[in-house]
Amino acid sequence: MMATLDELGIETVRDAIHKLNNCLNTISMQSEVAKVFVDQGAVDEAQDALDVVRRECQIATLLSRFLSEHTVAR
Amino acid sequence: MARVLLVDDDDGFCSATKTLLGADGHEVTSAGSIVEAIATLKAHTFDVMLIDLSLPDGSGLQLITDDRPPAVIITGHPSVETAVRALRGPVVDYLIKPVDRAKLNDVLDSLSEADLQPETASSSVDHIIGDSEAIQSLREQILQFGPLNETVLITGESGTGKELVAKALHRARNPKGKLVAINCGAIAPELIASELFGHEKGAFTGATSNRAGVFETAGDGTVFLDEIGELPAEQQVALLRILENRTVMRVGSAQARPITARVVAATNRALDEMVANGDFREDLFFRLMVFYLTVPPLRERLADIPMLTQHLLESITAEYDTPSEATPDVLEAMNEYDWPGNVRELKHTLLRAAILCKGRTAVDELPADFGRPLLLDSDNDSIKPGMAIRDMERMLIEKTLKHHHGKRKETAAALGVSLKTLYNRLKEYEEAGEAIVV
Repeated sequence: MMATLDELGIETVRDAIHKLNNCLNTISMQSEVAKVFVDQGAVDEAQDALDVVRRECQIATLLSRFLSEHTVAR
Repeated sequence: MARVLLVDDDDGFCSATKTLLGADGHEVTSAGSIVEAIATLKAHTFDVMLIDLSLPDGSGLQLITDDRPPAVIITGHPSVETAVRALRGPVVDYLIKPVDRAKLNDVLDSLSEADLQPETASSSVDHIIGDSEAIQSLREQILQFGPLNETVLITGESGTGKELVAKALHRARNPKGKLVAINCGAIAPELIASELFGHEKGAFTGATSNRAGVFETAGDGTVFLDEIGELPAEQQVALLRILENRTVMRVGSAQARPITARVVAATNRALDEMVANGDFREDLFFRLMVFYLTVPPLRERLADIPMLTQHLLESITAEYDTPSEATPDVLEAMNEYDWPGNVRELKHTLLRAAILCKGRTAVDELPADFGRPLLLDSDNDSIKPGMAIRDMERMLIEKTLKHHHGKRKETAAALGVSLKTLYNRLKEYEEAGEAIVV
């Protein structure tokens, strides 16, 4: 189940940008982690890391939509 | 390998960074706040700190002082580059989130020897936990023998921590040097000469290039020869020659190369009896025995169990988010056991107990198989005399995997093997048509 903006504590554009930044960091680093686990043959752990990536991507999409809407509104 | 203190309140970032640095051989401890970082710095020695600028209780810059390890600043704001560069104090570099793995390794690799935290003689024994008389005496002996260049023989039962003692001896003499460990019992006899002494290209089939052995690789550091009692007779002669002459000759070469590494050997076997039976060379035995240390079995230092338990549970908690304390009843039960597998058995018992107690406030019960390390089932139907070791290993893996509900990381940790080893075994069973289904 995907988190909502309320659950993420996003109220302002500033909150959204901060959270988006964290999401992108996590996506980047967990992708590296997945690569390490794949190299080690640790399939389950690689899958866990990719699940985190997928979840963060969904959040990033939600946030970017929020940011677009606010930019248009302005 | 660098000992890294990572200070960041973002759990996701800490977890990812620990995995990435761990995969590259670094030892990482994390702290989520300035207060936690200061406490960790007091308890352990680090080579470098990776510090996030904004922490819940203040700025990460507060942690940077001349008497602390050099710092690498991590920031999510590229605009602070100039400010970070202008900082006074031992700031080695700065990194922008998301941290690139290659860049992270470059920064750690670039730490010069001068940057690394000098290790005092007394801090070399910090990792040896316990306050019993036996351990205090062992620590004193390590501090006496450690700085010397002489060979040291470490004896002790399996699981007592002989490798930890070897590391302490290494750190007491030359912590910046390399510690090269080799298990004499784990290498095929036909390869051991090449591993120990190196070889020249063409010395034997498969020797496609020149290769240095452990003595050359260690440089001015330490060569740790584990399970020295398993060294084949012909290599015993060669090792004796190396210790006497302080030179090594690669297989296929007549050139004697000088060595400066110190040799530390360890065994859980009674070498004197092996000498009496003609299984170990007497001259090598006496050459190794210049100084010797005996690591006491856990049953002779039961007073250390609370301290060891606390230390082990803290490291288990850091990885699995399990309870970090044991109840008095659990400690009492552990105190009444004789621990034939020593600290290794204690560690695995606590890991199993902590995983089983996950979600509770303390480790309040021990695993059902506690006290019967070789019996996996209460009905004792698991191990039978004459059973093939391969079958026993498969059974052990299957039961442990089931116990951990198929979670391979936890299973590998409980078995004391790497995740890769566990996956390799599972693959072997699958290919042999004996796949383990959980």
